[in-house]
Amino acid sequence: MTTAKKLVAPGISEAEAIDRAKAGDALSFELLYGLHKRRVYSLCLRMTGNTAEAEDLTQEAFLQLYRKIATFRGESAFSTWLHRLAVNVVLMHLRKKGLPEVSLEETLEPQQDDGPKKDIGARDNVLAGSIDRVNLERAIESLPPGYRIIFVLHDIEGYEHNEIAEMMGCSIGNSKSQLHKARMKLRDLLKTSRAEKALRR
Amino acid sequence: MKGDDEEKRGEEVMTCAEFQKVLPYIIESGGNDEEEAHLASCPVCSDLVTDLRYIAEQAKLLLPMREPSPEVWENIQDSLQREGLVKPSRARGRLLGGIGKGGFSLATIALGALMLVVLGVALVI
Repeated sequence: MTTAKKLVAPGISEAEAIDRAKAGDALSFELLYGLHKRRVYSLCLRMTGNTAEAEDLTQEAFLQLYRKIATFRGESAFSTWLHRLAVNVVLMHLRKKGLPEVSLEETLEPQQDDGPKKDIGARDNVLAGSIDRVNLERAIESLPPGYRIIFVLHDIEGYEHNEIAEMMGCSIGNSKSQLHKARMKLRDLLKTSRAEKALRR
Repeated sequence: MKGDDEEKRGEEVMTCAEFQKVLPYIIESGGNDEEEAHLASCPVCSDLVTDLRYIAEQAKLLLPMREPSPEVWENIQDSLQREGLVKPSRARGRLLGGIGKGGFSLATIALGALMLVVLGVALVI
């Protein structure tokens, strides 16, 4: 486990806090909440694009953590285990809402709007150096839900396509296809945003 | 586009459309010789690949900057108390440590009973 030496409070490592929380120590659970709340909330917010939903899902994820922490065996890092639990909470919520996650009929065939725009051929149009964090966060928020979820899971959270396919109940090819489309859409959004900013100057 | 120009010359080279059809795989694990040759000769596809890789790199640098409101923790506490998993805290925003998942432990109840008995005996004396 990689969490052994991470201190969550003076003299208390994360591993100790986990052991104590497993034994029902509420204060240790609070320490774990303090340590992981940002990442879990950011994950929920990026996946849903909605503050209220993200807060509800963060709450649900930590309630599930409290109920299930005794089953954590340390086979993976605690943060990995917790974030997988949080992802499942969000996906379950989205399924209940009936939001389209990934169309199972999607293929890797390029679609009309997937190719590069014909008017962006000039070499000085590359995005490198022109994206800031705020612009990228905004662009991710405006992605369609199915694209956004795959992009967040793969490019931000670092899940592999086989893990995403398992979580989402889709094929690996489908996950790759959606990720590619998400990046293409982000490229368009970021270029548009940059062009609008240039016009305002 | 240079890829189209090359096609016009009648050479058997990859077109931009063909390249972009396999682009998701190229981004993931690199291309074969033909695909790399197209990439090296086509500024449009080269810019596209540069941008997509740049977006992926920037996404990896995004940190969890946002924090949930304090109400989230308050709601978690309330839910745990309603379910009897912890007892109500004296101060808002702080759970009491050492309370078992099943609520009061037998040891806690026994200690409380003992204190009452001692207090009762002291009052009688």
